[in-house]
Amino acid sequence: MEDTDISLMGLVRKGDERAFELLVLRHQRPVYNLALRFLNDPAEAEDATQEIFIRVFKAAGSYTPDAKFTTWLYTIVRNFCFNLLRSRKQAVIVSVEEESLPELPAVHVDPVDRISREQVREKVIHAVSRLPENMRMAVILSKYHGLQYDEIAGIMGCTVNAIKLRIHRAKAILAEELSGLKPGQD
Amino acid sequence: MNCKVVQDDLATYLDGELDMPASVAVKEHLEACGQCRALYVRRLEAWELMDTWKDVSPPGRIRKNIIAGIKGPGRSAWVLRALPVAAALLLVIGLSIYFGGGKALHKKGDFAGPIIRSNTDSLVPESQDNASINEDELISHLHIFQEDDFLETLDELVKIDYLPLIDEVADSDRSRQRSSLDLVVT
Repeated sequence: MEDTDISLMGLVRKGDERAFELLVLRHQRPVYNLALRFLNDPAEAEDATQEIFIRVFKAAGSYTPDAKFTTWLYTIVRNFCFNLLRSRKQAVIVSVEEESLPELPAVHVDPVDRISREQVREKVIHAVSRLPENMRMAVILSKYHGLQYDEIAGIMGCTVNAIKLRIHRAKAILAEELSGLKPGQD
Repeated sequence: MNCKVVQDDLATYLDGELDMPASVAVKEHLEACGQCRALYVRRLEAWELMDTWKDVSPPGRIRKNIIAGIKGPGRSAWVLRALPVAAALLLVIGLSIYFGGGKALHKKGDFAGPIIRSNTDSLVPESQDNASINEDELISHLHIFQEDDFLETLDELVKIDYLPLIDEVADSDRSRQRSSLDLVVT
């Protein structure tokens, strides 16, 4: 039977490097993609992924299997990425009440003007990267990692209602920014 | 259910996070209200456009670097713990040889430590002329059993700034001279 993340973490706590390698193999892809989408920088995402897993190894002793392993792991990712942005002095972490909607683009793409899938992708990346950090992380965890609101709330350290509000606002912004885009066939 | 409530619940509805009665109510409203349905379709389309931002595979070197990262600090810590002990041992052995202990060692004929041993008769002469022994000559007679270990230890010493101590002394001498000059100038 395949080892669960929790049983692997039990082995990692005892210093089992093989078990840790299995955990890395299993989770490096989602961790890298989460960092990449949030930071929007491949080099930083790579460094972040490495540092995050080294922290996981060092912090294995403090892990208790109360919550899902991924919740614990993504909380480390979230903290690391937010701290990284803070250190770059680019992050403006604000409470959900203070979050304001970024300015929307004045010009919308003509709905009949079909653009390539790659162009749509670039617009999506641009739109997501313009979201405030808390909204962006919530949207990425929801959209690309398929997490439920309560899991996201656990990772973000806030209430489920705060997550609902963030995702609601983020979807409104994204709908404005991406409305009318019809990807053609590449 | 009025339009305001439905529009507030649209994001949650899209994510399938609404409870069953509320979800049914929103669905019925959308079937009846063209304005809310248009808003719903826009948000749904934008949400689906985000699928163009696909996952990417993390670079293969990430896993190697992570594994190296968890092994590196442990080895460094071991080296840092062992180095002072090794340095003290070397110092004691060196001093005992230099200040006459070598005579006794010479009599035994086969002094051998874990790293070094004296292996020639000329290392410590029988005469009372010990103080005139050249330090370079003394070192030249020390036989290194494991050259690789020695070089590795040297590297570690350089890494933790053990070796540049001589430079620091020279620096402090220079700064002392400079401050004396300052006094003369003032």
